Amino acid sequence: MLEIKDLYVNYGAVEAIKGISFYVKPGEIVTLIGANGAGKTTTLHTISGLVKAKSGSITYNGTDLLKTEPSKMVSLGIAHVPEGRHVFPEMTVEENLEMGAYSKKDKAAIQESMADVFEKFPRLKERRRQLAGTLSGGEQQMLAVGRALMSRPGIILMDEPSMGLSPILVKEVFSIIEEIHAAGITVLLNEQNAKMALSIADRAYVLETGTISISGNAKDLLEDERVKKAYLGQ
Amino acid sequence: MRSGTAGVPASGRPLQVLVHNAKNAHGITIRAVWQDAGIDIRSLQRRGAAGTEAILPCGTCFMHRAGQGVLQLKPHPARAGGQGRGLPYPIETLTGEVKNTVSIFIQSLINGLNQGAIYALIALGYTMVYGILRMINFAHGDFIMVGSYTLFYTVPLMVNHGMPAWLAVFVAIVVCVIVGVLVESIAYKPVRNSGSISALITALAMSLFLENLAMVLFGGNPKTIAKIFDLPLIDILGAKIQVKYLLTLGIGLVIMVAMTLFVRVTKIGKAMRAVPQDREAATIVGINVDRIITITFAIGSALAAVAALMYCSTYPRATTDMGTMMGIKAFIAAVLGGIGIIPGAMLGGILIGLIEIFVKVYLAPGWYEAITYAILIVVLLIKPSGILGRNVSEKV
Repeated sequence: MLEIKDLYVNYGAVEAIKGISFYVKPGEIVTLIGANGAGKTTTLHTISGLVKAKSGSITYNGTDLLKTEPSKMVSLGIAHVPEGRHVFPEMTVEENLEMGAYSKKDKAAIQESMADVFEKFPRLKERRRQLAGTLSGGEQQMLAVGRALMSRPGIILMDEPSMGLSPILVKEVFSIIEEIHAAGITVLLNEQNAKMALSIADRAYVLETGTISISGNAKDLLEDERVKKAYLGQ
Repeated sequence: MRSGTAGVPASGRPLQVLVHNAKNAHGITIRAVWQDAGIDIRSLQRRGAAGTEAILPCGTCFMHRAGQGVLQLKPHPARAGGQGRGLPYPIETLTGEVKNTVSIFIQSLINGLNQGAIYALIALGYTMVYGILRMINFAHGDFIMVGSYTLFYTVPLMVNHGMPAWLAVFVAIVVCVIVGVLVESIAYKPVRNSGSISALITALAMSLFLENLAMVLFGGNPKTIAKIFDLPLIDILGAKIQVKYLLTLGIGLVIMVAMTLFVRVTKIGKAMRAVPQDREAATIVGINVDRIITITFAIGSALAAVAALMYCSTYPRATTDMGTMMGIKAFIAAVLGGIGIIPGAMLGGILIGLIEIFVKVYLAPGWYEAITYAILIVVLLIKPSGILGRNVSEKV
């Protein structure tokens, strides 16, 4: 479904990603774990086209993403829930969701998607006329996820969805990810909270300063001594 | 009250002659004809003595207790057709009439609203571009100049083909949109990510470039634009009101309401709001940011063309540097109302127009710009984000 091959990304003179390769199969939850600055966000940004790759290839269902306009990704079925939410603060919850369906034309289908999102996130329905900037961090995260769902994506790229949230909310976010997955959407998840991420993922890749150091089934990685030491605090 | 003097019949009613919008520092040269007797209007103000002509400073305002009748002010024959300075200003704004206080007030109000609506239309262009790019497009005023020259060439064409002159505005819209979009894509886009100072300098350079280009293409002499609207004067409580002034105001209000609805309701309008709030998020939801910016410039430029129509129907003259002053005024109007806010542009424009005219008529004619700017400074000291702006810090 999504295949990254030998990807190199530079930020100016700094090599942020140094030749990583990985893939995501339909219906999987794949997680990229690793410390701050390991290159997780850069990887997702490169897939979304927000950052230009230096070399390598990214294909999604056969389409070369490196040659695709960033604004066209969503119509291919790739939705991105960026790190730090990035909701439109001066727009209402409802308008934010509408923007999520920007690539869609069918008004009835958009209304249906919105009803689905409101069903999943009753809090958002309560606050539909409220400006997104006035929501709490957790609510903004829900909104960012809801906005991504509005495009009826095939795959969701989630960047640090648990960042800055209380433990209860983190649990909630992860259960939402599982729900989304159960609805048939593939998930590529960046997460610093390795334990939570590995507990819901099928497979995982460990990123260390721009390279993949360890990869495998999420369950195996939970038992891996190196992972335990470095990322699970055991 | 002193009695009337040579050539001026005595009467108890005030005579006011209002010369407004004489924008260059030299003022305008006019000849005053009073009952077929040439009268120096300045001395008419001071002494009531007969004379022939006077060079009037900007915003000259005369009060004289004199008789009934109409004081006609004509362009000085030697200057008519002029050297790019001062002439010809529309005679109608120079026509003094015997008026009472109420009619002077109404006249000033309508004049101010007309002036203000023109500023507002221009300010709307500034505010929309600022809203999306956080950049002041200093070349925007020059789009008015482009529109005005287009009108100069196309209004006679329309008339010759038996069409209403104002239809020329559609040609002006097309030309302005093309110029606006070209300026954006050729000049602004390459510096979009190089910081606000680069963008500012590029915008100033574009402004000068357009003015110089116009100088090369059209020459330095001002062009007088043929009559655009053939609308009557109506009488409101003794004030003679140009119907086209009311039309300008109406068009301004309609466009403001339409633009407000456009950005609230339509998909493209919402995208125009989303882009400045979070460009990255806008991209990932599928908004083509470049396209939205282009559309914004196109709309702003089209509004500039409409503003040119309304301006030229009031002041039928195109000069290569006309955009500069108007641009600055409209920019100030946008800031006064709260830049980036559509109703703010309208409010700011109308206020600046009203303040200018009322200062000219009632306070200190020569000082109207200084006083306008002083008011702006005071407002911004009290409310830095403008009248309708919200005092919130920019989100990172």
